[in-house]
Amino acid sequence: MAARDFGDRRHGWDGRRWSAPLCWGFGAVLILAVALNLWVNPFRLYWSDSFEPAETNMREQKHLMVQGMAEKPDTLIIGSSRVMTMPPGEVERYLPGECFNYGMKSAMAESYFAALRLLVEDEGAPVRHLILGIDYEALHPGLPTMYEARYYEPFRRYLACDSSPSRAAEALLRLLSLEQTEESLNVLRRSLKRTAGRPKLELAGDGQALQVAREEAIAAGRFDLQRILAARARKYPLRSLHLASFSEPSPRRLECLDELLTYCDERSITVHAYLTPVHPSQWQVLQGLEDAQVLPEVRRALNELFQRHGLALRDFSHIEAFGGDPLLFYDEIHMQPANQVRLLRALLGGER
Amino acid sequence: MLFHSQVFIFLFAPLAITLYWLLPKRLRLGWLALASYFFYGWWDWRFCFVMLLTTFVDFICGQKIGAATSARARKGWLALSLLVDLGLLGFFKYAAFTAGTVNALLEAAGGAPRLPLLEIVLPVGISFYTFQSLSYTIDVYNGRVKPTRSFIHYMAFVSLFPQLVAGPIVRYKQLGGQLLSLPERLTSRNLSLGLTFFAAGLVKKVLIADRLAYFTDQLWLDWRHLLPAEAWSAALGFSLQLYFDFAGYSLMAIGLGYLLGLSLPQNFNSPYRASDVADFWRRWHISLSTWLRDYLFLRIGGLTVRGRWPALVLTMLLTGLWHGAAWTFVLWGGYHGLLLLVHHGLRHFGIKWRGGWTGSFGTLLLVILGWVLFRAETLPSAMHVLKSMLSLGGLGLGGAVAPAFIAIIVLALLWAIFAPNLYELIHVRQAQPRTWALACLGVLAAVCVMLASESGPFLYYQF
Repeated sequence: MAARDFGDRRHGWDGRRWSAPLCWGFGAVLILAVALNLWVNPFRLYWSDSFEPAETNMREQKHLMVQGMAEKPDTLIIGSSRVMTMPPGEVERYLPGECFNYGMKSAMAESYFAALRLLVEDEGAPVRHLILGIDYEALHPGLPTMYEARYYEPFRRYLACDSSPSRAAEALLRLLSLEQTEESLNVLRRSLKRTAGRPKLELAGDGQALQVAREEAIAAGRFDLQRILAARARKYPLRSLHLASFSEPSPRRLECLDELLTYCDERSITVHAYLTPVHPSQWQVLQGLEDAQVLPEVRRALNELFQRHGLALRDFSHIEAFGGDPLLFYDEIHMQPANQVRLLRALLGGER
Repeated sequence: MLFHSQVFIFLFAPLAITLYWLLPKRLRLGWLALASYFFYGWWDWRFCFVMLLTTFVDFICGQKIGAATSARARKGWLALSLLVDLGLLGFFKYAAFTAGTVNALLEAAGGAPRLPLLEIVLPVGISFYTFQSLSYTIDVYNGRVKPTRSFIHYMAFVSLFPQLVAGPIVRYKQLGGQLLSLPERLTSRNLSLGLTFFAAGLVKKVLIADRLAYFTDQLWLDWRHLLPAEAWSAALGFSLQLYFDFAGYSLMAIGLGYLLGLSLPQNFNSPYRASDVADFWRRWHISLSTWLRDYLFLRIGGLTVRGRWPALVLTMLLTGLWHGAAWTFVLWGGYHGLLLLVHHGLRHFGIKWRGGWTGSFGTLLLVILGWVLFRAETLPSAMHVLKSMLSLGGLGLGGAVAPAFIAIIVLALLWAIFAPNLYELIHVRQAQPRTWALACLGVLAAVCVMLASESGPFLYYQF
């Protein structure tokens, strides 16, 4: 039962012969990864521009689109990827002037505010209405600000409550990340095959995201929503909501939203805010999870905040609240435009 | 700071170890203590003072016990050491649990004033370094070791960063002498052993335990809806995750020890190959089980015929409580106490647990059932999962388990049961690893470093 200790025994092997291959194997992989990431530079973190980036920075792309608009938008749709499919044309039926969809990937509270300030202050957009789709995750205390927001300098300047490492530190840390290495390999593979990677999303001129491949699958009858939902049933709470570390709404991010509402109040921008919907199948999973008890707390904190500003926050997190159709989803959180139209009707119906 | 983080692998460890060897011998212990406190303070510097208090009190108590001429004085100093060490451990780890339990009992008795439920942050590794430091004063008291005269030496012993936060729990007798006579230089033997153990631990932690965690966490999050196949996967997945996580950490700790010219004891000896429950406890977390055997079981009547069995059950209940302040852990300890009681009882009446593969398989099954109590956050969730595993809910054998999860479980199970462990390979079989195998280990370790940002902390950090 005694703890065994063989440390003093003599061994017949040659230590140098032993450690050399280990170090070579270890070093070779890391050196290759660093070299590959520096050369391919898939996230535009380093100086090389030999290859196209892995993905277009949507915050940048949409900013450039607004820059190119002769008539700057009067209404903005701001939120995460969950609002990206919302059609601005439909909004224009309820609200006067031009509307632009500035939905961003993995946007949290600080990105909402930064996007608004970027378009109002840098582009002089005469914004009168803001449609703000808020995710529960937008108030997560532990999730970092999306790298797209941090790597695009005009956007980064307005990130009020970002505590992420500096770009230089991140560039260094990411030199050895598996995510970047995988992206580098993907870019390299596509380049060798001389095939441009088909974008998952295409953007319309008004910023609305078009899920081209999925729409094609729907048209061809190949789209199987139930299979997608089943596969992601448990992943959503764990990966997207990060429930295990979601203990309370982030005070820092709540403050950020508070500043956004004050900003809107000072500039007479009308805020039409709502909690973004989640597919009923996901709510079924969430209901059984003790860790999901944080969600009502987040809702309460948001309601208190909006009430303080004399505003209403519409809770559309359950689709029944706006007459949504459970079949009109692309996956557990992303709705098809037809459902977005229903949501807009419920949100802005009184405005017409 | 986690062993598998890039900051540890590329900054802290190379710097701490290189400077350790470059410094004159008389400065090395000071550097080791300083580096260890920095390592510990990286998580929360305030708790360095808690560790320093334990270290200081036990150092003084050790000296006083050694110098005391009367038995009463010796006992008094030992009592002070026990009071401070167990008091700190009790406050940080068990205050909220005790208050909660007392409140529940008072409420059940008809309602009475409630004790305040303090939200106390548990200092990482407090259970490990407290036991380590405590063993010193007890050993000094029993005359097994002589008290050290150097506070720096004692600081280095308690705070030694390779095994500070999750063991192995090293006795002063095992390490004190090594720290007093540090080797002149890093030998190629220690370098290669250190790198190999560290790389193997890294692979166990990042490539196996964390991959298993990805799937098992999802299942445990949704414990209410687990169908039998999913419940079995959750239990089996966690059993393997815990083993690979903790054994991986221990290997890394031992590897770092070699890189500092120190020899730390083996903490795992292929426990899932155990032929019976007693054998399991000779192979699982060896440094803790031997600690509890020597400082608890044998002290509370384990040597006497009448006291042996109650002592066994009490030791196992406290083993459970050591792991965490929750009734699920106590129940887990009690469950193992009961298994050991049955095992020894059967032997007492001349009935032997069947050996060979059937014996090992039966033992593994019993251990896996026990891990459900260990993993579950509440008793109802543990009971629900166990019920589902035993198909008592009338749910059939349904449930969808990801093929990738099944593949990792099978691979990990085969590894845990059939593959020789590193100690066995290197120290018993004295195997000469092939060059390509070492290069592969290096490649896998590099992949682990790249995966590190997605990896979680070690499970045993919370204990």
